Amino acid sequence: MIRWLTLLVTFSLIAGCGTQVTRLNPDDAVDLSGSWNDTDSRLVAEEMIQDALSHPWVSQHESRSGQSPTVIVGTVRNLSHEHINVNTFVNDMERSLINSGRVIFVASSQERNEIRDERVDQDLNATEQTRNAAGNEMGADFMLKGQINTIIDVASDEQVRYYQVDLTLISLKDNRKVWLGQKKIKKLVENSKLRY
Amino acid sequence: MKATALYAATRGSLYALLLLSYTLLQGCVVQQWQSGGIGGYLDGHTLTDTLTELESQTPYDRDRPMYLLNRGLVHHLAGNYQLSNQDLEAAKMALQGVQALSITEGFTSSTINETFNDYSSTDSERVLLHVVMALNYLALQDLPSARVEVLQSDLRMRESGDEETELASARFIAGLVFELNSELSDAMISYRKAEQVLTRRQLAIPTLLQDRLLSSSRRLGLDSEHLTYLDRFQHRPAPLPDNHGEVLVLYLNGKVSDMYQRRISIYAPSLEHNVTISQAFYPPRDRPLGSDTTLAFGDQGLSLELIEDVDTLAREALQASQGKRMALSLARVTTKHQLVKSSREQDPLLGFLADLASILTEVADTRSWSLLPATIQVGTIRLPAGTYSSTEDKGPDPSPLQQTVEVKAGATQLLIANSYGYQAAMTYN
Repeated sequence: MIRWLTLLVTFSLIAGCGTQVTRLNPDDAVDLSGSWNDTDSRLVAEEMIQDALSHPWVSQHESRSGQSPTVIVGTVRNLSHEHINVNTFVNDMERSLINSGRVIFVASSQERNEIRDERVDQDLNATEQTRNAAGNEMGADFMLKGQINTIIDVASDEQVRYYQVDLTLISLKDNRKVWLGQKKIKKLVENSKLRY
Repeated sequence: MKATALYAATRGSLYALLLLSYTLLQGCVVQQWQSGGIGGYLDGHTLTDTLTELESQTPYDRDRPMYLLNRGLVHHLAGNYQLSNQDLEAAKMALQGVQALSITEGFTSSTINETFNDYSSTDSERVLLHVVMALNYLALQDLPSARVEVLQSDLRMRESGDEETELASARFIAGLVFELNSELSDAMISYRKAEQVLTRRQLAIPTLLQDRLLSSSRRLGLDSEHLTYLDRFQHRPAPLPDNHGEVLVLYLNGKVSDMYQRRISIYAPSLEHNVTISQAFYPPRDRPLGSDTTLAFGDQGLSLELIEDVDTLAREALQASQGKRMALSLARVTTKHQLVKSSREQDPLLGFLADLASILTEVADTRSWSLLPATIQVGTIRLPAGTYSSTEDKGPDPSPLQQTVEVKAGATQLLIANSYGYQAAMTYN
């Protein structure tokens, strides 16, 4: 009996050492290190775009031109202390904007080059009926630009991480800034003084 | 009967072997030897060989951060900047996980030795990790990521709260990154801090840093500070002549000294067994670390100047830890004495084995980022626009690799080089 119990305990201990994988819901907030993570990216993008769409620039543009505003995402600079993948943040913003149905979105400068190459290729190789001609691109009315900044205060084993995301929507017609958005995140990170 | 004889013979042989080992180890013996690390290997091999050697090793988990630091540096020196960053980022993550005080390591350090601890690196190594990563990103022309690294190095230096952790090279490269990013105010702050570190360490201010301090303070309108620098440095940087460009050189020179172990074993009559203490040490430098590097750009030479004496940083870090190391050694003497005493009371053979084990397990922790450069040097030269071949002037021996440097009028050409002959050049406008 004791031998079996010993074996069972040993087996349990060995089993506990193996790699364990737990599938998570992508919307679950899991904070491990206190650094900028997917939850921050998604929540900031959603909240800021909601804020942007709730301001009068959309309706003002609609009443002036009779159509929804066309937006392009420009540069979002990472000026923070972390290697933040700005692309996921930009993608989150694009998704929120497109899904709102209130604005038209056009491809960014990098994406455009690939599409233009494809159009050139179509010009040579596609049939007349399926070919997309150059010169029919939709120009953007507004450009969304921004930056992510951090201030980190550190003392002993504690850190206060302050993130500030600033977004600006600029009218391409006359350089007017039609919306300024700001979202702040503050985290207290306490590192353990002891480990096993 | 036969089994008893065999047992007696085996036991006799074992005694003889143990006695021989014991005789070799006992008495007042001072032994010293080099840690058989990768640092010594690089001295006699090429970077490619060293990388192959590293790839063939499987480090213990506790030594993995050190392994990654060394491999990351070899990748950097060989110009594999992306691979270098992968290793150094992994080392950074691993080191973050071992900063807290470990309970088990406290136990093994005071009973067996310190080599069973997770390698946690020194404060200056943790800052230099960011320096090398920033250089990698600069070489990859990824200025935003280089900026992240210099911010992290600033955070690391502030975190320790010790001004000895401030590294002039980290501050200077931060200034350079901010300047290339058109953040002149932040650049000025970093250059100023670099100058303060060098002054505190009683090192000469390199001409490149002098020029940066003079030009940044002038451009920012810090008149009083500008006059102070003019008075101190006794020169005024001339404006860049028409059709000229500037080449900035960041150069990693040589390799830090290898750490050795010194073991002293003394027979203590009152304890009736050996007392063994092992300590890590660096031998005295066999030659001064000077600014003896000259790069040639066509027929023009550039003498580089010291901005970081990494070898001294390594020695200071060891010196600072000697008190703790000695305290742990003495704690181990007490623990091992108790072990030998209680073992001897049970069985003399057991006591003998415990004594032998106490000698053999007394090993100093000589682990370090052993492939770090001995010094970091900087320099600047203004050249007419054109294409130059950059080589290190090594007298009659030609440099193994040459780098073509394209100097554009009004632009800054950054040259990241090392004494192994590899160079990377990139233009920043």
